[in-house]
Amino acid sequence: MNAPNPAPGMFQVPPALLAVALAFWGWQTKNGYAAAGFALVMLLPVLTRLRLELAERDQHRIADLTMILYVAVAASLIATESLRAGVHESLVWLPGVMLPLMLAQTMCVEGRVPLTALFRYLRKLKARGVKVQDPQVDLTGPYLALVLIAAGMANQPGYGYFAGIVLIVAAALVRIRPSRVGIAAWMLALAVSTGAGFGVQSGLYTLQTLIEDWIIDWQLGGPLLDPYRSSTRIGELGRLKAEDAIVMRVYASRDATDRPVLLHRASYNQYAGTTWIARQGNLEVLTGRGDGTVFLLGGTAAVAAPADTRKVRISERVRGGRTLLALPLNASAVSDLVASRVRSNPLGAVQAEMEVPWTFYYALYSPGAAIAPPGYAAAGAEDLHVPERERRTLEAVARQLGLAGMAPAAAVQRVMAYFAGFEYSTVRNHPFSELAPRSETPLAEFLNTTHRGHCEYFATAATLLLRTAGIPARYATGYSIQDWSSWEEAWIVRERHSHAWARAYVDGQWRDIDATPAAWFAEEESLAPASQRLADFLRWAGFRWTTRDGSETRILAWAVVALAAVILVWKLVSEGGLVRLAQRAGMGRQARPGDDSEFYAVEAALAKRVPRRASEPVLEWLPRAGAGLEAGARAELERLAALHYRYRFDPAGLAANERAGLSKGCSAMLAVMRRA
Amino acid sequence: MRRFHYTLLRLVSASDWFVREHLTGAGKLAAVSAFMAAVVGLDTHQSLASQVFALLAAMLALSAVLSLMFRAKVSVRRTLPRFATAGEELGYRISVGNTGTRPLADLEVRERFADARPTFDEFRRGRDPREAQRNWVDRKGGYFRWRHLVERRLPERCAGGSLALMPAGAHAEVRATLVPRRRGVLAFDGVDIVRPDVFGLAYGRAHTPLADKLVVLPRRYRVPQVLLPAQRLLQPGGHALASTIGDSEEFLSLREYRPGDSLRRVHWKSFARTGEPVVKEYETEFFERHALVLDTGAPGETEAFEEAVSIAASFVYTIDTQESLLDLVFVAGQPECHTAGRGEASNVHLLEILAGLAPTPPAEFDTLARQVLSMRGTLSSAVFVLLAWDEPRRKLVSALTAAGLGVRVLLVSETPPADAEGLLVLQPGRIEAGLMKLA
Repeated sequence: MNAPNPAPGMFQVPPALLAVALAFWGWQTKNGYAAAGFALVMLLPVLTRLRLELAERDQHRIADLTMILYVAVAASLIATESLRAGVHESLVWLPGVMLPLMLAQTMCVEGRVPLTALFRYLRKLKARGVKVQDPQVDLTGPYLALVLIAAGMANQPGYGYFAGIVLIVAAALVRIRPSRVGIAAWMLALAVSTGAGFGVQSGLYTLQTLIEDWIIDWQLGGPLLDPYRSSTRIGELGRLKAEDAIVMRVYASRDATDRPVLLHRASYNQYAGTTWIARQGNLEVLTGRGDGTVFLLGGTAAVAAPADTRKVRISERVRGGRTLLALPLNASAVSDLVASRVRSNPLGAVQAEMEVPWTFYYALYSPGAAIAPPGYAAAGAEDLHVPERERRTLEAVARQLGLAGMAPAAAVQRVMAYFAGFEYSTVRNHPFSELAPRSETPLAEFLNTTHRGHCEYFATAATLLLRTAGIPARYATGYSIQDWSSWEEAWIVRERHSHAWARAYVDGQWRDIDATPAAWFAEEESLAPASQRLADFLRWAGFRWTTRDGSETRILAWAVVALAAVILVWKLVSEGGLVRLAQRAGMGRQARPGDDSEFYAVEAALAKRVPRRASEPVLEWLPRAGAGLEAGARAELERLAALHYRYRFDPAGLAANERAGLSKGCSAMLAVMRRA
Repeated sequence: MRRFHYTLLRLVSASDWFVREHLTGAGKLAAVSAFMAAVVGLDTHQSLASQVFALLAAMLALSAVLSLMFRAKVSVRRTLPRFATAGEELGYRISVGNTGTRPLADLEVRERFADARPTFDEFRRGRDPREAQRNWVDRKGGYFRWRHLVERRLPERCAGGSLALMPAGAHAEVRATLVPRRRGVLAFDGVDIVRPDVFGLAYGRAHTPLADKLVVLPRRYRVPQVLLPAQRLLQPGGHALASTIGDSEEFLSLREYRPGDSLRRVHWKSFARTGEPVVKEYETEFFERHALVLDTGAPGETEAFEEAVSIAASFVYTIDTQESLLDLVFVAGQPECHTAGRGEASNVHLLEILAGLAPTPPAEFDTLARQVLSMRGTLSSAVFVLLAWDEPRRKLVSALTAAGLGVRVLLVSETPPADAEGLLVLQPGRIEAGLMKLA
């Protein structure tokens, strides 16, 4: 390289090591061809003597275009994938994106990049005349770090990555090994820090696993995600949070009378404190049939689907890479579901894992009686269990309603009628002990005193009351489908439409018993903000954008990238940046600004008439040399000389018209001298 | 809130200093890379970038431990010149002796300056000279003010030397250089002998306290030779050395003609020989006396104020005080007049005074005006370096002009006033180009 020696304290990495690092990146990210191309580009300063003569503003422009390139790449990746996956992927491609900036350093005559190229703010200050430090910086060190980090974003299993970074970092550092340190001592230190580093990274991995397990076990027991546990908000103060973000769309006809109203996500069979738990609710992997997108609920034991099987198309929002599928009662299968893994538990929860923001699937169900829904465990002893602390209250209510000895269907009717007299409310402003000091639990307070609460109160109370009456029942969570969007021609389900109800085994079949007063939906709707319609439109637009077919936007994105590259090359070529330097062996003189000035021809012509003495300044010689010319020509000569020197030494250069004037003036002057 | 900002800036400053002093270039890169890898690799299940963090953190930790084990027994001596000039490189020597029993290698010698961080009171009262150009956040945050206050006590650049190998008992000398940023006093705290660790990531250091001070004279500009009127006046009370150089009949020397010289003094033979008018000089008690009037009225150490001091320093350096007297007149609480020339005091004395000059409230110009007017009987000419062009200044200049003095007025200002006739307006940042117009 023809680069000057690095400034003291600056860490420089040779192009060959950068090329090796890029090859390592290609191996890790499985982008072998791209990596080979990048490495070849990185080796250009070694392979060729061609150098670019870049003015400061060219380097600024390249840095800006690099930034635009990154934004274009990131935007295209975010557009075709999710935000998180897009950002992740854009970091993987950062070494390629930064390549123009690296070339601006390694292929330019100076071998450095001004600091202002990296910070627009500094440039602005400098343009305003503020004195800013603008040293030439070496980007090879940061670029090496960036390549190694980007390679790690590919997350390849095995020890190859760690071994690779140790070798590359060692190769970079061995060059600055202090002279007093022997290679053996240096290797020993490297071995010690490699061992320690390996220990730290294993420890970090284990620590994160432990923390995640702990969080999953104890903290994230929400009804939306966890098939094992559902922490209710029974007894909590304040207003229930009512998010109106859309989480699901159900593509069923508006007029269909037999459309599913409740979509079930998980059932729980044991109530403890204020939490419902799914006992024996372990998730088992479901194997996909056909092309791997059809999953029969109940696994291999699934019975043949009844003749009147219906299909409903559902799109559901995916968070954290997994979701519990919302399914109608009596669902037998899920089809067209693209997921990396699908698991289900005996209580009807089906969990799918995938890395997309929205998933689409068809739920196959039969609208008839749910005698033995596939994959849904038969009623057992747990479904009759009533917690000890709620038992007295529930028995009192059961006595009051005369449930003992009543036929199950009649008992269900009686319970429904009982709760119809209650009031739906999402607000609770007092601790329960204030109102009902003798109440032992919030549920008892709900049943005895307040008679008001949200769906979790109703579902829990109904489930337990039915159990008290000897009817097996489970606490079910999912969504209530009630909001039709004529714009989208689909039923839209918002976060606040998440619902809980009782699922009871009555007369040999499972039935969904929604004890919550029907007014609950109207009350929830009243909480919707005025801007909901506009927000819904934006949500719909976002939904369409994130779920569209990715191929056309990918083409568009790469077109933007190509355009950025074309602009960069065009700017470099059109503004005189490409300069072929002399061969390295004979490289005594570098191209200088103003070398192409036509004044040199004038000077040569004059020197033939009046030779310039050794070390005589041109401006002193000119009056002497031009003595034979007319006064006008002499003045013109002085003007041209001034322009020529400005062209050579003025950092601001000449304006286009002045440059043209210099060229034209010199031609005219040569003609005058020929005549004279 | 301001106290909070101050504490925060102090902490940031300290950590910045720590990183700068304890990590090599490669070490800084390793630390930043480790941090970046930790941020993007936070989720160790999604990426392996945290392994870069783990490796670099382990290397940095080992480097830190090894660098703490560095011990060096050395004797250090610094030889400083008496003065430095702001903006100009100063070279000096640092002698290092290895007084231990083991050889030392890969050493670097570095200056450590006294803690430059301002006290809370200084921070509260201090001003960023470019405050008007800053945005709201920068003004309120006080970062630039802090930086200005710190940097004024530190040199712009400072480079020590390196010593490849020092056997036990050996002595060596390195040439250190520094470029003072501004006039005033540069306080040295000591000398650090540093050595990179096995990986070259961190420095081990041995500190030798070696406090010292260096007076930094103001930055100077090139000033063209100014022809001041050579009107000689009787200096009442005489002058300490007036008897040795004067206007008596004893011939002293020949010198070039200046406007105002009597034709009777022309030395015709020399005129004929050289083609330039030359006059004879005799010892006298009548001699030239010039005043350099510096306007110190500024709200703080603004850029204009600093430029005015530099201009004054440039004149002090340029005006020939061999044959005339130069009075530097300014206000510093009370009117001050310091005279140099004809052997009384050298102009370096005046430069030293300028090095320590502080701004005064703009209202104190009246005191300055009275002082200058009281001196007009003895002055041949006056050069004014002003920071404003208002009524009191206008009056003073016209009074002196009316008294027959040669007056030159230089105004340091971003924008020329409406009635700039007779003034040389100099823009901060473009002073030298402006001064060329004096020629």
